[in-house]
Amino acid sequence: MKRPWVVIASAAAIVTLAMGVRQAFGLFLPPMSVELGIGRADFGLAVAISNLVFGLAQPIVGALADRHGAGRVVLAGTLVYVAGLIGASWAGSALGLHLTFGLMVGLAMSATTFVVVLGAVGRVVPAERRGLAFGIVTAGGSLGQFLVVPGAQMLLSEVGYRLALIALAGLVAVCAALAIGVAGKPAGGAQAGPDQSLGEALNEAAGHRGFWLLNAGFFVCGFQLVFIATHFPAYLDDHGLGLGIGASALALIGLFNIFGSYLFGLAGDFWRRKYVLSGIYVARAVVTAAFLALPLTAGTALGFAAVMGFLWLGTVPLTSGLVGQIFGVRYLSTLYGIVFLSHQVGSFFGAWVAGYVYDRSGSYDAVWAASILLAIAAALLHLPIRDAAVRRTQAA
Amino acid sequence: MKRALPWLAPLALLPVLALGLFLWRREGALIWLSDFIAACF
Repeated sequence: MKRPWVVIASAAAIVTLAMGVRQAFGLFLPPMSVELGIGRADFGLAVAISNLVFGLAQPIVGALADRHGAGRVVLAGTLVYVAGLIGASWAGSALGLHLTFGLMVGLAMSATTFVVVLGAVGRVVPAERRGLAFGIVTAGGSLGQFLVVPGAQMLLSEVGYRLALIALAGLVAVCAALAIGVAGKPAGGAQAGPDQSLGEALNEAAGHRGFWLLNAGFFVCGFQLVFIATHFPAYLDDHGLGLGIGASALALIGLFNIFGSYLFGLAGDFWRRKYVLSGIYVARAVVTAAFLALPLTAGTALGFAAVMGFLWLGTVPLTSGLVGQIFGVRYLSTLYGIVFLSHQVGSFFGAWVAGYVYDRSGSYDAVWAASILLAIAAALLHLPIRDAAVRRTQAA
Repeated sequence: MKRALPWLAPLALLPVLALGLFLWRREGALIWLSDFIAACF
């Protein structure tokens, strides 16, 4: 069996690169729009396809990782990712962009990010250290976002978008080597519990109320984060806080997200994860309400960005940790993949509904209110989760 | 002290975070102006 720290470090590095490069896509809108003669809608569709495929493929790709090992899945995902980025650098039309940025990178993301690598990490780390391990890996994803996004912008300014994409493909290719660190077939083991088929694991989860409550909570997480990510800049612009404050707010979200991802993961080793999760949602509701109640100034906008950044991905190590805690780690990637799909569905609604409401009413007020109410609902939904490990009779 | 160590571990990232902040300071305006920040976060 591999040393846990090798697996954790490899997993963290894989998500650092995979998440970081993906998060830099938005920067390519201006140069690619000019070069390819496409509009914001076409570029937006490519990103939407990517997010949709990422979510829809995740349970299936997670199941493949549970069956064949994370290493092979990460390797295959890396090859598709690299091909998608190089393909995007050659794309001459919106359709090309939809196939590369959209379909290929979306699929590759499902094979190279949290759901797949956390399964591998969960199997080599003792249950009492799982929060720490998941926190480190999640912080890796946040660090990638914080470092790669401005790095890619610098690259873009220096060498243009085609070469920048090829350079990013080179960065992603490193994941092929890192895949060795998370390789290995998940064949039972001390952490895995009694033998269980995939179908039995799915039936067990489907019959557990806590699994559905986790799905509902993660839906809210996706809704809130993507609403803020998509519409917060426009909200600041509407209120006369533009460039300087907006750019600083983005940096603060990225910076505090690193600390939050790690510390909330670690908190899961000390306190019951469902209560920590509930606390995150309460905090999001309180911070959002305070932000709206106070006069909008540079200080309140930056304070909101810092606190929401801290609360941004703290839900990932806690939610995945709860899935592992309740159902074991043998099918963690499959089961957490399903929960992640709920997150992506929430993300879709967070971006779309907010835009729709704004177009109809000329304000985000109703969406902010919905976001607060959903956060309170999510906080309450986590409380009745039975978080004890499910008891199984040993298979014959 | 040993018990506090895991909570303080992120401080080891400070040099890397300083690099990140430098990059954001330099590139933040252009990132904001890319007009498609949703994909970044």
